[in-house]
Amino acid sequence: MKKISNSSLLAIITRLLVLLVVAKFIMVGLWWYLPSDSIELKTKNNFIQAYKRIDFSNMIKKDKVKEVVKPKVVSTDVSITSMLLKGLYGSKKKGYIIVAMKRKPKSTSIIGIGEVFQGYTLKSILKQSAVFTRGGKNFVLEFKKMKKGSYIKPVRRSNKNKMKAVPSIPNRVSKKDISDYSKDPSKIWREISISEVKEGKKIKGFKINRIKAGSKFAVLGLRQGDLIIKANNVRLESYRDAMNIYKNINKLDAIEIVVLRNNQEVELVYEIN
Amino acid sequence: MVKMMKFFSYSIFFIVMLIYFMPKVNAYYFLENELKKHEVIISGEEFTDTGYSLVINHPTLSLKSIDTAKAGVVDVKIYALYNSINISEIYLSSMASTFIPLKIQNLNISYSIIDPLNINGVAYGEFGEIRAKFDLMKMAARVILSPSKLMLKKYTKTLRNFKKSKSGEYIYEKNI
Repeated sequence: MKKISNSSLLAIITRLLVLLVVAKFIMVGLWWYLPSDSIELKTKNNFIQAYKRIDFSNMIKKDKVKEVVKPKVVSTDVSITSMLLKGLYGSKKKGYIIVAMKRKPKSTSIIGIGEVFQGYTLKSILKQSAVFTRGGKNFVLEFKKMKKGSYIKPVRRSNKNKMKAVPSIPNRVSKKDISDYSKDPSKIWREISISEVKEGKKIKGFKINRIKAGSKFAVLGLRQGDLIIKANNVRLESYRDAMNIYKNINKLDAIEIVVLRNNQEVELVYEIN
Repeated sequence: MVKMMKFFSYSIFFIVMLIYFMPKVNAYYFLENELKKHEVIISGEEFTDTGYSLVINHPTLSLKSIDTAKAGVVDVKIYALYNSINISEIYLSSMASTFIPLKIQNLNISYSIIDPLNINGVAYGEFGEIRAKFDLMKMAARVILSPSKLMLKKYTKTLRNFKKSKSGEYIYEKNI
């Protein structure tokens, strides 16, 4: 027994075991210090309905609402017949309409239910008309038949800011231009400079720092200082959101961009053809 | 002399045991946390701790939340005196298709005690072959590209960022 304990082999084994245990202890300590969870890319699914163009003129042709009250003209300062209904969005009790005076058809106003326009209070929205009240009487404002191909886009309002402009006819972007830019992206950065703007840790949007005068981007109505916050109804809260739009741009026939300009939301619509 | 040999042998054994017991997956998580600070995220990966190396299968690299590259197998070896990362079958995102061919067959990055002041890299794929060296003292990178026919034909704009040497290689240098 004495001989075994004194043997050099046992001494070596003991030392090796000690070293093994020490190594294990050191690594257990390290394991204790190191993180135990992996980092995965979190992508937020967008449940907002994608932007779609709606041709209201087609809706008018197909649907005829029977229960609508015939327009009644009363002697008021401003007659209901002097108004033009240019667009509507929403249901009977919730939504907005775009309305203008016939004498100034391009000067549109957005009226929500319960709001007053020229002395008439918007009561409800039907499929092809809007019902106003004044003096306890109902007045129905119907769509004027539109030319084929023209349309008015549905308009949404932000809770914080009002839409500044609602273009009824979009700018046009050619697919050839998009193809040229995608082949040589350096062209894009020669004409426009964009950087992210953060609110805390979250991306608020993408700011246009520089835009070359006379460039295609400038012609499209973008301006230096604009903060792009939405594209096709998708809030741009990450580079991924922006790149998803960029990657699929060839599949789109229209793109809607919402920019924050002078603290007001401005909607820009482009037709891709 | 015998004592020296014994000490050397025990030291080797201790280092081997340290490597074997190293919590490689957790060390990888630590690396992921560090990369996250630079908005680089590696996700979708599967791990195999082989004892002496960490094998990561099918990772996806995202930069600023954009999927940038996908790899087949990443083999990480940390042996203190020699460390290497070998990545095979890298597919870059289609967004990079205007700059570079998308498939990289293999990328190897290594750091060895024999060349302690440099980190070396070798990659080959549809673009040709790249040999890179990062000088840790000067904090300078030097990339030498031997372009493929495809690279020379279709990606001339990318090659403009390189300087052409007399031997026909393309050199890119940058101080960080």
